[in-house]
Amino acid sequence: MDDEFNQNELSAEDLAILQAFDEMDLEGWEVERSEKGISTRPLTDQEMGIDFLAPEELLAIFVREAGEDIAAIRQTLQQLEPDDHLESARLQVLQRTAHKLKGSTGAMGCTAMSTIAHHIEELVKLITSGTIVPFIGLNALVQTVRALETTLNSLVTSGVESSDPLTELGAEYKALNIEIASGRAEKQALSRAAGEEQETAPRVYVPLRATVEAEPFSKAPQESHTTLHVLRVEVDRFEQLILHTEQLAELSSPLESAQAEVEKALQELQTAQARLRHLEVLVSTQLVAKVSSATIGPNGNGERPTSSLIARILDEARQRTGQHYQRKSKVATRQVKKADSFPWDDLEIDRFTENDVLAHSLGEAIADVATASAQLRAAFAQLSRITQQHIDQATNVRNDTLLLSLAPISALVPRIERAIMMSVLAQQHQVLFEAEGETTEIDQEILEKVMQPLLQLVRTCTAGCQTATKTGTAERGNATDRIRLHVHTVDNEVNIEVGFSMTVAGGALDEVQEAIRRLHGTIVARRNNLGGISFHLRLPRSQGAIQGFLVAVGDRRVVVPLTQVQRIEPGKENRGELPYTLNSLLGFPMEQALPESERAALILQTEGSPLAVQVDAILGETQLVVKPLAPHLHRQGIIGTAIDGRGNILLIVDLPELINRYEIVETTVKVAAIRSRGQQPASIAQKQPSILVADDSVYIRQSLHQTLSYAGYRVSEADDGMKTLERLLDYPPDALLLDIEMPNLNGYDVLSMMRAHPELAKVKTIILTSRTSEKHKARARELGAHAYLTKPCPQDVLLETLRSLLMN
Amino acid sequence: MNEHPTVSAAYLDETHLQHLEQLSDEEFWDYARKLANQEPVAAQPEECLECTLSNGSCLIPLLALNEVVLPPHRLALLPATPEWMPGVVAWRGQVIAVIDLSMYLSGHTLDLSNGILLIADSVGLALGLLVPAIGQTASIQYDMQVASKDPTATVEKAEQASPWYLPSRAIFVKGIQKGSLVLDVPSLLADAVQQIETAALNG
Repeated sequence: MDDEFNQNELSAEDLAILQAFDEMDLEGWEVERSEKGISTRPLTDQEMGIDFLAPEELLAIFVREAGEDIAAIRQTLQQLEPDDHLESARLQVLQRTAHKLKGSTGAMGCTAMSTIAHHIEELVKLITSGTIVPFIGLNALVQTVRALETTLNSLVTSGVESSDPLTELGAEYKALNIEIASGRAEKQALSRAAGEEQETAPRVYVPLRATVEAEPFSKAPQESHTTLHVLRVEVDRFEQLILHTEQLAELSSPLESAQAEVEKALQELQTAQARLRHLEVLVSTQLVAKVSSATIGPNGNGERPTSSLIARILDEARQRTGQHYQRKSKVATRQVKKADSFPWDDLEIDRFTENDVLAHSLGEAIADVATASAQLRAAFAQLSRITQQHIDQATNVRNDTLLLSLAPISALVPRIERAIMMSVLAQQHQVLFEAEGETTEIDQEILEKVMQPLLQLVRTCTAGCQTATKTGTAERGNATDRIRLHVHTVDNEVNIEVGFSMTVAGGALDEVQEAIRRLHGTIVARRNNLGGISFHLRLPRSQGAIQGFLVAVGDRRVVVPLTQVQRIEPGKENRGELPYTLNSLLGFPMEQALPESERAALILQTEGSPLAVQVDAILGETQLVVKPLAPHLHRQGIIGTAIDGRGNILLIVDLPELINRYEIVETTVKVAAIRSRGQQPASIAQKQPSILVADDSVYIRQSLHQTLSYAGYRVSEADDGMKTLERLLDYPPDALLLDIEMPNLNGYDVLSMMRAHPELAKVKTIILTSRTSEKHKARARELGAHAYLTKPCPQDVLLETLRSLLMN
Repeated sequence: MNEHPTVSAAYLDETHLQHLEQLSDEEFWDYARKLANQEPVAAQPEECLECTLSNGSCLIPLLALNEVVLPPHRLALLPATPEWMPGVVAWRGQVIAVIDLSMYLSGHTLDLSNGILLIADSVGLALGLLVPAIGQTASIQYDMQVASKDPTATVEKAEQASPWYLPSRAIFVKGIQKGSLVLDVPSLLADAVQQIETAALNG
């Protein structure tokens, strides 16, 4: 690469290759770069630390990759038997490989090959929909693959692809009475295929061949539990029991609230009692002083008390003692001074002044209050004990009721085994299925709802194994492929791991994620110790209840599920990165928010860098019954609601989802603002943003790598979905160029996983795919993609899209 | 037993019940047939609740209401909602949307801290209509509203009054009686539900 380029040394073949590259409009791209204010001087290879591939090297990569894809298609075709029912799993493999080839050939500008690859996709659709019979379809596919090979050969030998094979292929189709380009037939086939895809996707019926060489699956662990006595119960009655039990459990909150109110009143009573005691002392002192002054003063004779209260107390004393009370003179006054020194005696009432009587009566009243208060406190303690017992009992009843609805996961095992046995994978390799912890119990309704998604996950992963394992098999020799189902419980959650030792087909995660989310669960993909990929599902053990942190957001309260939080940081903690605030994420007004330094932060469960969400206060931990929202009240990032003991509605939030929504909205607003102001893009050469290119085509990765590096970006690559995710988490780039069709995890899977990782919310994602339909675009947008480009994509469009997104 | 007491389809008092019990099977069925063949009585006047709003007042048919809830109301905010939706509230164990009716109809609002919450129901979906105050109930002749050609009729056509409400809300006004809008609650609720749903998509 360091040699100076000399055009005169190029052969005719080299020139032909260059001509192909000229079609990629490199000149126009350079003009675009200079117009947009980007550094016009291309960075040198040394500056970028990149070894650019020569065009012939790129072409060599393309030819090798296309050859492999065609070989894979041919191999799959050979495995298809022309009987009445071509195996749908193998047809899917054909379709996927053809789709990949269509993308890479299109990007290379090989329109004939791209069209022929597209024909394979269409033929598969026609066969699947029953528009053409399998025998004819298989014949047409063979002819089509032959045309592909011939066209590729023409490119290799002459440097230019020949369109003759494509033309001849048209004649072959005509002879077979197949109209690929016929709008009506094609549309019919497409719509029928699309409809059937929807309907039949969860069911892949592949007849098990008699010649299967694979070892039989390890037997499902036999039911280890002893025979249980079963009681039949009507579902309606059982549901009513659950409803009443939940209502009983819900009563705990109001009961606790009422208890707290009584305790508060009791405390106020004690405070009042203390004040009365203080008053008693004051009154005694003042009365003594008053009597003293009255004795010394001119009107020292006995008078009727001025206070009606005192008169009443004196009257009561008279009634009790039977003596008429008279105020004492100096003698009595002297006795007052001694009153404190000797105890009160009703029989010697005449020894005391009216003030003594008053003070004594007040003391007695206070003592009565104290006695009542003590009795009340004892009663309250008793009430508290009973309330606690009631709450404990209600919890027991609720738990017992929930236990009734639990069933072991082992019910799933035979169906998963069957799905594996029916897969293409099991027909080509020895497959060992192992289950562990399958006696773990989970709510029957959850089990029922998770059944189809789990089976779908297994079917999808094992469906495209041929392409996925074509290199892996060679590396592993005849090693047995392993699939495992590991189940265990953590607190009130059930963790299910579905692990594969081999490379699996993409798309599984995207298909099941929504179903898992509806069950308030999560699903993530991780590399496992088998050398493959594992899908980890976390599901609540029982429906309805959720454990979470009760947090304050201004004067509102919301619940954050415990599963989303890794740890809590108190206020004043020095946090490196500026955290999100829950107020902003929810779009609530900020007027009540505390200063940042005083707000606590929830540190989220992430696999990458930690993310903090500030809240005004963390009020405690709580367990609540989830009330689902009516469809028109569904909001992204809100799992549901709960109603507390006082009738307040508490939102239950999904923080990762809220962060994703927030970032998408922010990005959209900023890009729109920049566009409306007509700002010129800032120079990116100085900043060198990083781009991750995720595509399973070597040629497309190399091609994009060169284009982007030349434009001043730092580029990294990933050739499958799992690697993409790992790279994203290890080194989050500024932008991600993401293909949809990829092994392990496809583009949609990666997008879905990114939503579950809020630390990736700032990564700008551009889908770059050969899928052009609105359905795919809508799906990508729904999953959070910032832009959608179709292959082959003009470079200026790609670079402009990147610049727009990266400017904010 | 040829003469029967006049029985309204809607009301059966004790006398009527006793009378029916004394009938033989044949007499009962004769009587039932006679009732079935009767000309329908004139439409009953519709009872409405008068509500005071920021710029005017409206009448809400009592049939559309489930409950009148006095303050205080424990409203909870929900993200991404229309400006006329102050939040959601718990009602009989379910979470329902609350509509600030003044804001919805006119774009203006009043302090609703002491407002009255009217729980309205349409095809099984309950919503709360929050209004500053409620007044008396009033009767309107529903048929007159639709059929009357008499300009002096008690119920005027909505278009004849100078509207204080937003033009886009005119379709939810069935008529005007003594200056108060007579609301078409089912249509209003359907529109509100649709807008609340759309607001979620628009973020």
